[in-house]
Amino acid sequence: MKSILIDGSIPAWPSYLRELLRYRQVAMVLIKRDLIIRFRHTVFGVAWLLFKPLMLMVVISLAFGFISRTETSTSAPYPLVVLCAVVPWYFFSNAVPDGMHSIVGHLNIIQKIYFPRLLIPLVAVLINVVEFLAAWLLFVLACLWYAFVPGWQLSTFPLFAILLIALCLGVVLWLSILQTRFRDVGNLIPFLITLAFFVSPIGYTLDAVPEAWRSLYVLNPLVGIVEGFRWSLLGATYTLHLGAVAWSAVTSMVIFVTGIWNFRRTEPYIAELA
Amino acid sequence: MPAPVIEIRGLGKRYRICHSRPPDTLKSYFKSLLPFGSQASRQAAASDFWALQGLDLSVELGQCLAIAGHNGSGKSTLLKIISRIIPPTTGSVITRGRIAALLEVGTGFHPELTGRENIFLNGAMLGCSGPEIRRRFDAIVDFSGIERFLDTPVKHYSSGMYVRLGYAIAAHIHTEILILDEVL
Repeated sequence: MKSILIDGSIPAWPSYLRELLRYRQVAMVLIKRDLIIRFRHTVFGVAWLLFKPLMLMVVISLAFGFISRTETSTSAPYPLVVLCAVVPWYFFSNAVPDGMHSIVGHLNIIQKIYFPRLLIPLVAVLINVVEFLAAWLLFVLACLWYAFVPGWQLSTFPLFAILLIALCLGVVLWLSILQTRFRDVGNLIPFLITLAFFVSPIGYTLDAVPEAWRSLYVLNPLVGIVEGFRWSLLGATYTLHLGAVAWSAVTSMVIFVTGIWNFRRTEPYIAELA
Repeated sequence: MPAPVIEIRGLGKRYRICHSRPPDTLKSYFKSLLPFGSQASRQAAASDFWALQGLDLSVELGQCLAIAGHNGSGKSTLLKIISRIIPPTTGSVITRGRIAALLEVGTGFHPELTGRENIFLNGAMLGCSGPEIRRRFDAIVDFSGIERFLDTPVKHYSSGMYVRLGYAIAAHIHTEILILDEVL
């Protein structure tokens, strides 16, 4: 018979991981629930997974490519260049608010039943990961349309996907805790996400940023990741900015590790804090 | 004799009561964070309230225990600590075996999901695996008497149907420890 000691201390990592594993059923059920609800009562159903990023891509292509005529140094078709960045951006800009509101949004469950609270923001991000992975089908279709073949660089794709998810999860772990204490965060973040869109190379590429500003510009960890996705998918037609990628990797990991540390520290008190 | 399923030693839970109004502007919030000046007044403004103090208790397997007391005597606080929703300030609790904590009927029911989907959702939250729920599925449906509405979203249920379904799930999950806090 399993015995549990409750004394208000924070569990050590091995027992914490075992606990997470033991409650994976709850995570699976919550993910399934949210995916079902997302597409119930919709006419187009699962097709929205592709429509939403596609619409964003069309708008960005028009705004940056047609109206402001952004220059890029790559020979790959411009819609493909945009698409490589829109899919990761779409994931980030949805997962962060979803994750940030996840703890406060699930207080009714948190205050009635025990499970590792980490599962809640984790589930919020994972649902968006499912959408993120499905949205790449759009890139496959676009490659067929433009008769474009990615190179060996494609094999580095998982690396950038992991970096992006780690960064996103780290940000979400910080914000979801802060949001339980200070609802100001929920008001501020939509503005910061809009800002992040303009200071990340989504509608344009890194070469479009003036040389003088570039070293400041790449401090944004999204820059290295987005440029990494472009290099991975567009292959030889695109140059990799290794410095930016390395910086993104370091900052993403720092945000991820500190995010988990802070979450675990606060986790036992979540039901009382909010 | 086997070890008790619940063993509580020296359990205490302290809450802080704020007598002054919490800071309502950003300026006064940052002011209250400053380590000097207002320190003394802040100390005086907060006092401790012990909802539970020095509690020892053990419950054997198969034993039923009811706790009665005045409002605010800490009954719910105790049950929330045992079911790991809030942490204790002092002391410890050891539980042996699976716990189902029913602090509310139908925790996590989602209005958009059907009765069938909610049975699996709620079951998982109570620590019951998918196959285990499937085994007891018919018994749960029988007991709740909502068979005709199994594939209707629970937002269309009457409040009686809602509670019956929630209770039916809880009643069919067998655990060593069952905690009930004025749920019905």
